[in-house]
Amino acid sequence: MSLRRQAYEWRNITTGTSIVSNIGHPILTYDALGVVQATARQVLGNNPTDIMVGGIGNNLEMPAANRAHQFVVIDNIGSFPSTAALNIRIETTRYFQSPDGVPSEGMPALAMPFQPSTITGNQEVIPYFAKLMPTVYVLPGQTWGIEYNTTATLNAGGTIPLTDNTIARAFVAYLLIDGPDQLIAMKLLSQEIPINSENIQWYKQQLIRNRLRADLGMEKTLEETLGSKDRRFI
Amino acid sequence: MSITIQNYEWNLTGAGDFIPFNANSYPSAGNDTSIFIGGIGNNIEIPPYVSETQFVVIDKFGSTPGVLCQTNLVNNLTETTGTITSVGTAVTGIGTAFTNSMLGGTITSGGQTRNIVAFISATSITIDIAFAPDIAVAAAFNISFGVGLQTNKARTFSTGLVTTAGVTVTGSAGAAFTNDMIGGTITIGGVVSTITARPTATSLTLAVAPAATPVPTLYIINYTVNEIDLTTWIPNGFVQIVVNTTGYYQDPQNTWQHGLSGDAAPYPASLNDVPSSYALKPSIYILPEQTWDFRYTMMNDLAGYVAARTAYTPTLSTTIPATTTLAQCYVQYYLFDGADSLICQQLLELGIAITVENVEWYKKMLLKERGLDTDTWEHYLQVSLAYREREMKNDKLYGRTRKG
Repeated sequence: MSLRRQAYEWRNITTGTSIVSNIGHPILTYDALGVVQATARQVLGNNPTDIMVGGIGNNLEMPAANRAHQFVVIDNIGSFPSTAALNIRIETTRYFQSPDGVPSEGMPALAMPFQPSTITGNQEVIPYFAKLMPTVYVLPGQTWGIEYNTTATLNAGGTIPLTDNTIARAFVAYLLIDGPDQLIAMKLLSQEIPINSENIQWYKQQLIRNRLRADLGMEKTLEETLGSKDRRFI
Repeated sequence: MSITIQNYEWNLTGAGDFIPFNANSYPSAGNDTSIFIGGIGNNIEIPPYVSETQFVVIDKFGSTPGVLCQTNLVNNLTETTGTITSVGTAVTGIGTAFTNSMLGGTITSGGQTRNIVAFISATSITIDIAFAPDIAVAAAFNISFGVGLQTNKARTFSTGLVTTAGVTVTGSAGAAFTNDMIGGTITIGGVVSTITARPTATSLTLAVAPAATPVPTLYIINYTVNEIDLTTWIPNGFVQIVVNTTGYYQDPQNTWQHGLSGDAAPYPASLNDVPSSYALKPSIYILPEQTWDFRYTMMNDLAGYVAARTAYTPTLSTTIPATTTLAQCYVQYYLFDGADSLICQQLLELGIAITVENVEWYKKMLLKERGLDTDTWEHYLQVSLAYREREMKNDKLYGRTRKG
């Protein structure tokens, strides 16, 4: 039973010769001259790359998948650099699509950026959206992922990153609803009530209130039952 | 009974510019360290523990942002004196003043930038890739350098006692002479002599024999050392919150992860971080009798870099001044104590979010329920006044009088 605010961050950096790091973010080492011993891996333009199992940068060993007792609410995404965009994939369906119904590149980095702290000058972007609204639900048992799209190839051939500004990155924040709270989330879903931490708490309050009413009802029934009994005289 | 907003700031700073780098003084890359009791940086004496009369709500946190520290290793020192020519990777200076500290820096000429990989003399350095084409005609240049800050530092040493015989000085127990002392001076009985050699850790050779001192006596050695001060560092850090033994953050495949990066939740935050990418909503509740912790993981290998730097230039040791901030972490939380803690637990049972506002609201509800709130008191006051007024009217009508 829990509501937890989770996040996942992707960067296209790996160490050694492998273009993927399945142990999460790699430890970065530096040589005597201060040069990082890592490579910003190439991300091909117009070629969707899953940030969790896409085979570039830090990855997971298996796709993101909700267990039977889990419910995920994705409410914030962001990417970098400005040519990037993110699409949300649930099972085989892409969330963002063009007006003609065809899956699009997704939410542009210029609309929802995830910028390095070192960025300066005219590259700074103010988010067009602070959060996804409405949020995206991933139901129990469903697999999901975030696809990174860029209109231009990044770090062609793999390059040694000189600054944080040369690293491609993506970010997703989501609410992980687990255990009994997941049952409440499903109940809210069936009633078409937005699923967020406030509404789950509200539903719990309603449950308690209804329980109290039910208890009162039971007492009344008991009184009525006793009232209909024949009196015993001693 | 109290509600307070609390905070804790963890600072990882250098051990000091006179203390040689010790890897054990800093977090090792990839391993998490408690910011409270990890034994590194400022710590408290016992792990955070919520007593049976307390309730904690963690509201927000952040840590040092940034991934790469390469650009920060290169300080903003520049050198433009003179001109250069080049043949292949050999760069020759004319009127230049190249120094060893420019190693690791970059040299730019004619719009081309190259890394400096070897220092030969004040007029000769080696670059990693030849300029294309070679610089045949002397041209202006710009060297950007400063892997840390190489400085000469004055030091003294006077541990133990010494005796002298000819040009040899022998130290007693406690004396640990170093090669850095060669070229420095030793003062014995007011006589100053120059040190020319250090045969062993307990003996020195002087340029001129002082008066023989067979009896162990006091001394002081003045010398200088040349070291690299690491003045900036980016930790590439992540923060994981642990309640009892459970990590709050898990990755989408449901396994433990290092937590949230400083880029997602930066501290201190800059204008670039508004609004921040991550907000800890809902907050984290730490119940009575639970322990909690913040684990910080640095993914940039500080010890590895210093080791590589030392191996590259063994004569230069690296130190980290106390003024260098390597990493920071900040946590802000609400501490509910006494009766307010009980209210928190009541709210928790009722499924109401635990905030300062809701706890205050619940207290008002309790007072109202017991008739102790201001409105109820005012009501009874008015009733009392009306009763007294009516009694006075009755007294007047019926001619009753009251004594006293």
